[in-house]
Amino acid sequence: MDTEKHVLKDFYVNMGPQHPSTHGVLRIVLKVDGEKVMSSETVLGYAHRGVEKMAESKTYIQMMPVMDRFDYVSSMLFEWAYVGCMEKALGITPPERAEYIRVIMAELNRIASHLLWAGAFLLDLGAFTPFLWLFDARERIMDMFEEVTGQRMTNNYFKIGGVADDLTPEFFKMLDEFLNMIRKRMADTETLIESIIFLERVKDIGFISKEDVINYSLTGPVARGSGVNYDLRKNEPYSIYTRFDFEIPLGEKGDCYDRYKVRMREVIQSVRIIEQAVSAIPEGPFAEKAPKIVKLPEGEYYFAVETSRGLLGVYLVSDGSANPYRFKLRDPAFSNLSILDTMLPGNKISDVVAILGSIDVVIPEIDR
Amino acid sequence: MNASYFNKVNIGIKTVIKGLALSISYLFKKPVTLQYPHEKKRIAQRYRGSIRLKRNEEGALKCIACGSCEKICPAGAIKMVTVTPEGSKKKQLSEFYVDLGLCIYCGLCVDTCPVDAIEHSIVYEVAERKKDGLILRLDNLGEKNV
Ligand code: SF4
Ligand code: SF4
Repeated sequence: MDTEKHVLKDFYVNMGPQHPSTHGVLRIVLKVDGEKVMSSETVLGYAHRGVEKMAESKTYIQMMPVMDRFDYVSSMLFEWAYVGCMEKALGITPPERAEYIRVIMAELNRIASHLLWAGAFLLDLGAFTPFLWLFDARERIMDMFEEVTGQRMTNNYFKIGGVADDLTPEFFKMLDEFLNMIRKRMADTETLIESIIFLERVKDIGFISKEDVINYSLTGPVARGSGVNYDLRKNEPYSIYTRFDFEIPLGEKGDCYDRYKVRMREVIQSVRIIEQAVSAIPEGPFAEKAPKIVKLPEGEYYFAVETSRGLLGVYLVSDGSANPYRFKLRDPAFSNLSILDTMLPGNKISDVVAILGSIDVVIPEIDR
Repeated sequence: MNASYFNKVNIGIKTVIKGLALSISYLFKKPVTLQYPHEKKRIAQRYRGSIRLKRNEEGALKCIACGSCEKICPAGAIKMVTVTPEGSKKKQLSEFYVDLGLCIYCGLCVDTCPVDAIEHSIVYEVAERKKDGLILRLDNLGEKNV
């Protein structure tokens, strides 16, 4: 009998665009042999909105709310990069208090983003309890954001020259409660999770070497998981980050477990920064006077911040009019995702979920 | 099936028991889930809900129909019709539309208003059966904005 005919060759599996573990409309075409991935191709563009072109027809202020809508889980960090770029162009320095408020908000947002990531990542791997625990903690951050910024996500809180409104006494009360519970919650989660069942699934898969980190220009926890010590808050400190005492957690091997661990430890470091900022925050105005109609002087401006996913740079070219001449983002998730296709071959299909999850991508940021 | 396999199973069972004990301790904590339509969340005073126009003490709209909010709205959610009555130089508002289906609740219109005539209410339940119901007009700007 001719068995040749019955052999399946080049079997393709479409993961996404509607797959629960891609957390957004990302499509990965996997060429599989049995359960093993032979090669993969990432297909982008399902959420493409042409934002960079759109920016050219919007005023500088009108772009502010749009900044929230790239990486909606750490929106204030995106606002910071954009506002910082404009402040650099206009030569405005925000007052002390505003800088402290920004740091507190940004670190809270980083924690919120990591909590969401950890919850979803563990859920993808089949652990439901930590998802609820971590989301409870994140919910408290969202409540604090609502109290101060008026919105739970897409906050539109950073303004040129400062922030939109002052912190309230109620906020400090909530923050206190949160800081009291978060360390225990993280420790509990790690005790619950780091059983052999979890470790077997994330250890020794999805390696990224130090060379690849540099070749693919990966940043954020993905790079630090491979032991590359690069964090903008330390390497090129912006705002007032030099005043705080915190560490940059690093991984050793660069596997999924290291990246998971780096993020979990970063949460604690962010908590430390917040604690220091709250005890040192000065009284004073929360915003500098800024022009109502923003026109940047002619020229090119660049400002970068460290978001929860890595280096985010905003590049603005101004021709002196009320709209940007060119608006360009260098966003972390896009670069980080680019390594996926080289990581997947050789792994099992079930590991694809863990590897993709460990990179932590947010689709609207990639498909902008 | 070798010894290390059973060893791993053994460790697995032990950690599961340890985890279970931890999760059971959470059973006795206060629930954090809200039974939404029956229980409602506390809404912050600064919450950016649906848009409404402010009135002064006499009950007249504070809006001077300058059009700044219409111009700055990034979503194009605000449309207004103005009239200039005869013998007067000032423009007056004859109709004001806010399309909540377009509004992204960014707060730019509130920030930009020179006379503080527009504000966010804390109303967040704006679901409607028809798309038309999402458009607020002068006569129902108060209705949805308790
Ligand atoms: S809140 Fe923003 S989107 Fe909504 S009407 Fe005002 S400016 Fe427009
Ligand atoms: S900005 Fe204020 S005063 Fe001007 S049209 Fe809008 S609501 Fe009226």
